[in-house]
Amino acid sequence: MSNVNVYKQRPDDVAGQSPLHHAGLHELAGKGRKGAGVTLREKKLLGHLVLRGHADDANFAGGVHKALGLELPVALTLVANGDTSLQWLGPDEWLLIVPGGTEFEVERKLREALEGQHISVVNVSGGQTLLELRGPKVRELLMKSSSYDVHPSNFPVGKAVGTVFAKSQLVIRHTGEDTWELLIRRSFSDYFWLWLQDASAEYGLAVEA
Amino acid sequence: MFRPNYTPVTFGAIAGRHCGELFEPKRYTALQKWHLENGAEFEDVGQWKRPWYFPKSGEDLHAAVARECLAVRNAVGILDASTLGKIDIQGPDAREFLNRVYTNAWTKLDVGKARYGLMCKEDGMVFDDGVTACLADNHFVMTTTTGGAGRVMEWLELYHQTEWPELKVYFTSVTDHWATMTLSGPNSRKLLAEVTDIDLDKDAFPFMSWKEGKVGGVPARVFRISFTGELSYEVNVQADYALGVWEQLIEAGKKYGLTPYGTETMHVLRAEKGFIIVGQDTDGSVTPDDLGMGWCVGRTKPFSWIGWRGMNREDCLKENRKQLIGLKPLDPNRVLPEGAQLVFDPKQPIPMTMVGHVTSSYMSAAMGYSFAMALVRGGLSRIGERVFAPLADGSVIEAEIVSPVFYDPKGDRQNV
Repeated sequence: MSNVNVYKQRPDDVAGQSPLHHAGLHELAGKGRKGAGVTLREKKLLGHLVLRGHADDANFAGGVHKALGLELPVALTLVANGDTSLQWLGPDEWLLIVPGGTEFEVERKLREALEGQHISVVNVSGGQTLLELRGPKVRELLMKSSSYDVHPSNFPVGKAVGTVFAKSQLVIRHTGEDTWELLIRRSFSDYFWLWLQDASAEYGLAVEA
Repeated sequence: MFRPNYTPVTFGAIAGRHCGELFEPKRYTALQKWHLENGAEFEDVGQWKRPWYFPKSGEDLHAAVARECLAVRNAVGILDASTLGKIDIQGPDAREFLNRVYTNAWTKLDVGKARYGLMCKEDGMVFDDGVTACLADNHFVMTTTTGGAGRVMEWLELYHQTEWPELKVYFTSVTDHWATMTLSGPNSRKLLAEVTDIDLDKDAFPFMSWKEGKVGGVPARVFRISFTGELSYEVNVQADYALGVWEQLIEAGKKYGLTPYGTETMHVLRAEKGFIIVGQDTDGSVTPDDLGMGWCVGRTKPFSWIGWRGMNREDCLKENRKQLIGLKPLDPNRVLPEGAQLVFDPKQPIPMTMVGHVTSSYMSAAMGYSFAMALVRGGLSRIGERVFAPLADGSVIEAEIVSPVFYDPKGDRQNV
């Protein structure tokens, strides 16, 4: 532990502002078209940790399992347990998303379970957010926005990919039959919000707070 | 013969929805709301929108920048520096990796300290710079230029994966995670003391070190580094909590003359100190020695590092290369145009022998005269000589070659 500087970065008693705070989603909630083809919700202020280590080292996989109760997901997939999800980002890189405010404890647990191994855990909670898109037209919206094939034969539930989206990049996660998540970086969140409003206009967009 | 697009296709079909507000992604910091509400004019820096200056009613760019510059030199200013690239580096070989990608040495940087570093490509030419701090024995945070953040991240990963996979080190971008608020100016210590529990005593928290504590009730890492040459504190908090901290600093700063400033003022102040901007004062053909920054080259580092061989090629060692110097126009009210070509002999018939160009040029409110930085052939050995900038309108600006460090050359102001 002493080899790295780990501290609680999120204050207990201060209200945070998620990347899409300025969009005022709570004011738009319930005002969308009835039977909207796309329903959007920001899963905001969650704990996001980037974990790196050796996938083929049994001690690493074992330590992660011990700390999280999750198996390391294989390439292009994510696994979830309640509000905790673990996603493959690269051959030695995973994204762990946990309930907001628990990321410091989780990081400590992970580091304890992986003590002595060459790993890295980095808190990136302030730098990104999750947008949940739900509804019968979400797949069509994604088809307009990305060149990646989102047909169920290529993009089953449980798959997650980093890819091109509009003129930028993000991660698409398929979490339920008609439910998808977009992982977006804070500084690009306004651009994606504008894009999603435009791209969903023909299907009707509803916002949930 | 037919080929696409033989049948006419509308531009709209090609552009799709990538038009209007969606033409190009615009990146914003967590403080954008405040900047908009406080009348900032914006400048594009890559895809980022950064506050350029904060005009008061009736002020143009020059009036606003003069006011902002004087506020930082005489009282205190605040800058949103969140766009700087930030890379978290962890692993037992992190320090060795830094030794190999930076031109200078990192072996002796203690925990709690920060150091400026230059990065070169293999050809020995400067391609990025920034301050990297040692957070713990196996843990560093690197800052990069705003525009270079993505490039540097890819560069580190590329070298790690292809050249030195045996080094135990991992890199993670934390640019968007941290919001960075820079307090700069002689009043910055007093101001920060009002909202932090960190001991700001000059011996407890000296220049080029960092501390952890609360600022405005939010956990923060504060770095005592300076791009203006003044006493400065860079406050980093998780971006979700930045706006509230910024507003508390603004409120507490009222009695200290706190003035928000933008990139233009930042550029002027750093140029007064002779601090380079990679990509403005360099163009991919400039070595550390060309910049007069040989002090930032670790000539005795045991392992060969990126750029060392390149900068020792015969051509890079010539004495008559273009070198970064300062220029002081003889007419203190004339500002040399950036990009202006320079000659030693203004009477030579066209085509004249061009010996360099102006890279940065401003009016200094603090010093009361115009000044510039320029790359001039053999410039470092021509201090005190004259150069001339023949302009398109037929006029010629004459300037003296001087040291590029115009303001507080000993660095007393940042080291108090």
